[in-house]
Amino acid sequence: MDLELMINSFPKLLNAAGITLKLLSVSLIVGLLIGLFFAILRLNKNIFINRFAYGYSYVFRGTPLLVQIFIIYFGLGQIEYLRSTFLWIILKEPYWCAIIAFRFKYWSLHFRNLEICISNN
Amino acid sequence: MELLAFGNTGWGDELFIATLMTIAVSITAMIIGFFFALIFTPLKLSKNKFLNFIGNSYTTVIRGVPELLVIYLFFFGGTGAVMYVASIFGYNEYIEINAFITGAFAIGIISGAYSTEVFRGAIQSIDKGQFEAAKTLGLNKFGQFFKIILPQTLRLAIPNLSNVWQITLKDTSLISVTGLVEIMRQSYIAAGSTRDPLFFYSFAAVLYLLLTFLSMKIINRLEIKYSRGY
Repeated sequence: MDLELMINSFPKLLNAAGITLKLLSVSLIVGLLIGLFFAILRLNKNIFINRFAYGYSYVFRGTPLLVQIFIIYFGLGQIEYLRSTFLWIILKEPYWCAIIAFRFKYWSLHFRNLEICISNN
Repeated sequence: MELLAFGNTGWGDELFIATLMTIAVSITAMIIGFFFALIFTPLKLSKNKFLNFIGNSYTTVIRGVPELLVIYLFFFGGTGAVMYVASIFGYNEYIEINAFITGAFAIGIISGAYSTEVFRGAIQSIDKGQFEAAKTLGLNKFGQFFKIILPQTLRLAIPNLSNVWQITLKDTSLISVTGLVEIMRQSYIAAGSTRDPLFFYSFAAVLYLLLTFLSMKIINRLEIKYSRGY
C-alpha cells in the first residue's frame, strides 16, 4: 500500500466524484421525466402505444448498459458525427427511465386497481 | 448481412462462439454466486452478532460498489496479488491469470451478493410452523433444510433469482474490459475492423435480448414446476 500515492491522488478522485454526482442527478431527473411519460403511455388502452412503451422498457432492461453506451457513443457517431459530452447524459437516462418506468407501472397498476375498486363500490 | 456470414468472410461464427462464451461465463458466475449465497445466507440469518455483521457487510459492500470496479479489482489487483506471492518464492516473471476464471469469479461474487439477499428474503418469509414441523419429524439439521425448507424456499426465490440471472447475464458484458472474448468484446473487435460500430453493437444488443428472452421462457417453466400444489 502506497500511502503517498493515495494522498496525492485523493483530490483528483474527489473531483471525479463530483462529475459522478452531476451525471447521477441529471440522469435521475431526465430519467424520472421519461419514466413518467412512458408510464402514462403504458396505461393507454391503445394496444400499439401500450406495446411500444412495453417494448421500450423491455429492450433497455434486457440489454447491458455497456452495449447501450457503445451504441450511442460509437454507433451514433457513425451516422451524424454528433459526438459531444452532451450525449453522455442522454445515454444514461434511458436505463434509469426504463427502471423507473417499470416502477411507475406498478404504482400506476396500484392506482388503476384502486380506481376499479372504488368504482365498484 | 454479409458481415454476419459464417467462415472467413464474415463475423457470424465468431459472434456465435462469443455468445456461447457469454452463456458459459454467466452460468459459471451464477454457480459461484450460489456457493457464496450458501455461505453468506446462514451468516445473515444467524443470531450471532459477529457472523451477522460479516454477512451484512458482504452484501452491503458488493451491492454498493459498481460492478466494473469489482472486475478491475479482481483482474488487475488479482494479478498483482498473485505476482507478489510468487515473488516471495523467487519467481519474478509476469503472471497473467486466466480472464475467464477471474471474470467469472468477480461476477460470481456480485451475483452471490444478490442471491444472498434473495435467499434470505425467501427463507424469512417461510412460515415458522414449517421449521417446527421439520423438527418434530425427527430429521437432522441437513434433512430439515434440504427436504422441507429448501423446496419451499425455491418456489419463493425463483422469480427473484430470475432477476439475479438477468443482472448476471448483463454484467458479463463488463468482463470484456479484461479481454475475454464474449459478445461485447467480439463486437468491439468486429466494429473496429469493419468500421461499422452501429451495426455490430446493435447486433450485440439483439443477442443479449435474445438470451434474456430465452432464459425467461425457461425460468417461467421452472416457476410453474416449483409452484405445483399452490
